[in-house]
Amino acid sequence: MTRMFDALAERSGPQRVAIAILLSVAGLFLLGLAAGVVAAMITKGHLPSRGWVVALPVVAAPLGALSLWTSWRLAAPPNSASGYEKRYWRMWMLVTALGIPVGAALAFSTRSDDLASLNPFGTEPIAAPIAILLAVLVTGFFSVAVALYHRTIDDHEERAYLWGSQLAYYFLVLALPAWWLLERGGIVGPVTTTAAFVAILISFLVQAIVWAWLKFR
Amino acid sequence: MRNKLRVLRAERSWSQADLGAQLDVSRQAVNAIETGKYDPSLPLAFKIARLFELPIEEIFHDSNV
Repeated sequence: MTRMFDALAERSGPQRVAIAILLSVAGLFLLGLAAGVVAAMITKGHLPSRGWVVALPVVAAPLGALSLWTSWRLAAPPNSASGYEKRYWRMWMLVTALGIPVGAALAFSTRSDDLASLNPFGTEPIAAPIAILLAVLVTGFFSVAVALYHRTIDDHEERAYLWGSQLAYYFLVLALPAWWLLERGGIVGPVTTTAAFVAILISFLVQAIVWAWLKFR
Repeated sequence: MRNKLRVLRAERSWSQADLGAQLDVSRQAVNAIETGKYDPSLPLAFKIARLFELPIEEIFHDSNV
């Protein structure tokens, strides 16, 4: 096992990060599979008749945990990394660690009992106290994450981030009035909350593309 | 803005990562400055000048002059 990890760790930076991302996705999938099977067993109140279904969470959970641990180790900067690189990595790990419970809280905010229909961007009504709690959680998380990010990054990345944000803003400033005018002409549907939210998500994509191009070109 | 950063770095046999570590910036930032895709801020330009013990104008040149 150690030999396999060493072989993975010896690969180049981008390859190591790509493998770490794939392993973390596989790890989350395996843990989700194990949790789903266990949840189904608890709901039904008895063990499935087929033995391999019982064995599934026993095998999937440790494999998932191992995948996540390996991806964490691979993504970590080597001991020779500079102080800046280590600070940068710690910042992303901290933001991810804070983001996972916030994302999970959003996903489980739906009233549906059906696990397959969990949707953090759902529009179903939720109880007022839960809505307030989630709003505080989300705004609090974004404020902390953005503050941590700006305290960590260098001038070059700050510039890439600001240009990305500016072009994302231009995208919204151009797209939403155009949509509104086309809607008045009966060409497209009305600007709903969900549609505006999708437009904001696309603006995030614009931001990410410009940021990556200016930082890595 | 043109600069002599690549030459100064090569004279000391430093990699871009080595220089980035000394300036407390990313390797991508060093590469972007060397290739002229990014002009550093004044504080970073002063930091570069201090590291190489040279005046700023000996490292950075106005390409219009």
